Amino acid sequence: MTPRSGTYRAKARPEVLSARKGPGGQCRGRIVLIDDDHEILGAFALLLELEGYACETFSSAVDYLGQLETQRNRPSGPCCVLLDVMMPDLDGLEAQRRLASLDDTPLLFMSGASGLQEAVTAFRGGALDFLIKPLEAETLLQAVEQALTVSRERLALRERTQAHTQRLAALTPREHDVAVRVARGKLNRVIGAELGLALRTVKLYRQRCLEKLEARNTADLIRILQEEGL
Amino acid sequence: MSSLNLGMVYLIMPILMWVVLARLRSPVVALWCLGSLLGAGAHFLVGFYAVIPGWLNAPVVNLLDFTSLLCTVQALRLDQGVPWRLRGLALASLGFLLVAGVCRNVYALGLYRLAFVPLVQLFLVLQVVGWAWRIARRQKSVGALTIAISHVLASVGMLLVLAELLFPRGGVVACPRDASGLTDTLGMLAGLAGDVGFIGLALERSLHLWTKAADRQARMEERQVLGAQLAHLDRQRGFGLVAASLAHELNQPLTAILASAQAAQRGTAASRLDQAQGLELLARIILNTRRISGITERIRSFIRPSEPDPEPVDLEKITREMLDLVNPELRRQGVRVTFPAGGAPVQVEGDAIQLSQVVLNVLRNAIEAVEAVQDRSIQIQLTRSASEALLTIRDTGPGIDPGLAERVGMPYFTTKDEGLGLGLSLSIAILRQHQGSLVIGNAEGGGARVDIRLPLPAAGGVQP
Repeated sequence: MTPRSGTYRAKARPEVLSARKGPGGQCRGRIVLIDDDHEILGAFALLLELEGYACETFSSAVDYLGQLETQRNRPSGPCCVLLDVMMPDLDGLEAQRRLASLDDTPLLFMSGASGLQEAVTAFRGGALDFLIKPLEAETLLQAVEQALTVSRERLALRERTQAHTQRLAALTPREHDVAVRVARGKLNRVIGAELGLALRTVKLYRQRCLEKLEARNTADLIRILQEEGL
Repeated sequence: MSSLNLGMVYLIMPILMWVVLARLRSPVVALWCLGSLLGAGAHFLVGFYAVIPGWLNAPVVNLLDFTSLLCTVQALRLDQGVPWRLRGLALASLGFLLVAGVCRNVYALGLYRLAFVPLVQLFLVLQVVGWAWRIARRQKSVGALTIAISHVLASVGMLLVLAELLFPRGGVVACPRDASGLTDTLGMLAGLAGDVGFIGLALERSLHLWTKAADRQARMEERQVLGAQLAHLDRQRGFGLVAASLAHELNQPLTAILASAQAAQRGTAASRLDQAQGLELLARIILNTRRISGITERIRSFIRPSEPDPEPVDLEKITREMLDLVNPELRRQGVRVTFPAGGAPVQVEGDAIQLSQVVLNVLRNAIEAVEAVQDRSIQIQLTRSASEALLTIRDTGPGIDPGLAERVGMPYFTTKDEGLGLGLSLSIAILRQHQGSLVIGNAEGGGARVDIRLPLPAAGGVQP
């Protein structure tokens, strides 16, 4: 069998793409499979595709890392990586370290020899699960669904944060100063004294901040600023 | 007792010995018998003292006596592997004849001129005693002890002759041989006992050789049986070491089979599976099942006890098979292996399983050696010359400690915690059985290097 990487099936049989959509016609998520054994890649890809997931397969973690680094526009949507621990070019644990510096896609490990040390290292590195081969389809699908849920949450959080950042950028420097002080729980009077502003002006700025950040009330504004780390 | 009768006794003894020891004849036996015959000749001539003129008779008698004893000493020395050289013996005989002649004819020397011949004889008899004593002591031989004692007796007789000569009791001494009847009796007894002792020695020696041969035969058979058992044990042990990685190798196809079967099950249950997909899943299940049976077949053929069975063996093929066997281990450790494909197949004559075992042992050592270093690689090369095949396996491990180099390959020597120290010694033994060799040393660029040499069958001797 010749070594190959890239999408295992999507390129060869584009019509399968439609089959990947779940019951709602929506793709249930993208799964990246990395294993040096082509038979396992093929079997897992078919299994997951039949369940409505989109699969990308790589026979080496090096190939996947290479694609991540060169690809500018990554496909959006929930995604998780299922990778083998024991691989010749780059083992799964080392790949985990390198992936961590690139993005926060949830990782699932699988291994034939259940090395305790490997599992501990994987979990410390933030792996979501450690699956022992041969594994039941049920186990695999559960783990994948869980990982995609985590991925979805991370995506949602990132979207929210991005919106907040944009809105924060719309504040004038004065409004920004006021907003930060409000978030720290300071009274309007104190803020006015600190910034050398009249109480009326502080109230005005505060109102504008609520409007610009699309916060419903002061509590909402405090939460947004906390999420932004201010 | 007359000299003629003595001569008859001395003549019969060697002939009797030659007949008795017919099956054990050797240069040693021949020398001893020749010595006795020469002694007999001397006695006959003495018996004809009156007939043959003295000037002819005396030197010949002396020479026969001298060479007779010389042969006896030489027989014992030859037995011990330190014979005198022939030229030396010839020169000694000539010298003896000359000095004896001078002594006999120069009357100015007085009584002492007659002492020369008995003195030389005494010296030779004592030589016989010395060598026989040495054999008796070293090999606990009763026969040799008999020879030693009998010649002590003979030397006593000679001392009597010498005493008679140097301190005469009554006037003139005509001939030393007639000096005392006791001397002759002692001489004859000594000769008889000596010959009997020699027969005993020869019989003991043959019995010893026979026992030793039987012992060697028994030991060889035992070693062969033990060797086969050990080889089998080592193979099973070697299998134990690769078992962990084999478990991984079995897991891969099992994982693929399980996933394919469950995909088919779920897909069919939900009516999502089209025919092409179903066929693909079935094909995957079949392919991976065959993968597993290939692995189990490899294991079975390797650990099966086998009688050495010479057949043409393709060295490259068995090396690649063993690489397959340790492949999971190689991948786990991240070991790079280079093994350039050779041109024509290199075929040797031998037992495929045993030779595979040798290759596996060496590979295993190499894998364990590179575990300790960062740059893990193993280079394998198979070349052939006109008469032999050379399989070289080099690794980038720490190599062999020069202090331990001498002991590497000896049975039960190991640097591994769980090692038995049998792998390499067994490999060497297997190769020796195949008229080959295994040399382990350090490679030029660091790391260990193992050269396995096997003779190539003569051209046209083996059908490929």
